[in-house]
Amino acid sequence: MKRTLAREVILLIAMAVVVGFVFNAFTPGGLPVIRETPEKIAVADSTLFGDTAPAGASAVSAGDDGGGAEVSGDSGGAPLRIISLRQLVRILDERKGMVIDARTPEEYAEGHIATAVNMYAMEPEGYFERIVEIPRDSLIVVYCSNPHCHFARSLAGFLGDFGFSNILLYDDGWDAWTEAGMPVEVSREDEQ
Amino acid sequence: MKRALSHPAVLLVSRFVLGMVFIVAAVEKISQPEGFATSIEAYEMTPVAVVNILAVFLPWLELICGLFLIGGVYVRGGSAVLAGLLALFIVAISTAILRGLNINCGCYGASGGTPVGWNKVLEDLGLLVLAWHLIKFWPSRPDGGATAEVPRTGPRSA
Repeated sequence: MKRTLAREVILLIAMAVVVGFVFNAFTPGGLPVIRETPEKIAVADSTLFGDTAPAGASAVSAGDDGGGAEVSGDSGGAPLRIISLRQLVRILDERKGMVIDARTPEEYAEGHIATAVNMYAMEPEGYFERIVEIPRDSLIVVYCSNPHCHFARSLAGFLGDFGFSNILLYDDGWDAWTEAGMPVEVSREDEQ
Repeated sequence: MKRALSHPAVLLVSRFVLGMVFIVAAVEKISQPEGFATSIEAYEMTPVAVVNILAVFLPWLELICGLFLIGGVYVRGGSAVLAGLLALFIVAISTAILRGLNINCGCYGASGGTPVGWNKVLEDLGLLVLAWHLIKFWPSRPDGGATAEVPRTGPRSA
């Protein structure tokens, strides 16, 4: 009896493997078998703050981010454009772009980077109306909790698919921001 | 107690609940493989290279076992597979919580995501109980095969 239970299990697993990989091979949006780790690239100051052209245009044309301004939604291919705390502070000071907090609404309410807008990465469709109003070449910084958190890159991928061409990740995230003693903004009643 | 658990109606409930949960969970993951792959990657429990293989294969395993359960075929084998998956999920989610990872559990795919939490672990434990119920109490064949036909006349033990 035990042997036949094992046979049922093996048969089910074999079916799943065959069907799964055939389906994957023939559907659009199928995944490559070996997943690549997206490369993290530190974005240079000259790309962000170059004074001869607006932030959007210089980022698209610059070669130093290693081959592409887009953070796309497909697996592993496009590099993640990382900025440092210092660069983020300067972007905020110079009002160069928009900051998005990709964490849950509860975490956002408890404290976020001032002027950051919340777009919970796991329900991005809910922010559709707001997203549509943003010019596609805007400089956008996305952050979440820390480098282990995948919300920011997930949202960045979603926005990339939408056509946004200048997306940056503040990879160190909220943990690093608060550890550095940076100002915390708490949600007011009238927000969202 | 054993008679109650062996009753066809009770077994039917387990079969349907377990089957439906996994079918629903699987469909979303099959339709959005990249989202599910991102969820798996976030657990940081496997090398990134194999994440896509898991993202492709696991949802189909869930779907096939779920469908077979509903259909009353290979019930004990299907329950054993799902029990294995549930044990795996419980370990993964618990580890993620204890490591303080702020990630989507990926239980129903990446969108409509639920962050990892102990409630998810409890749900999975509940489902594991259903799977155990089916493995233990679903009648086996007279010839020693693992899974008998859907019982029509009442419980029979092999």
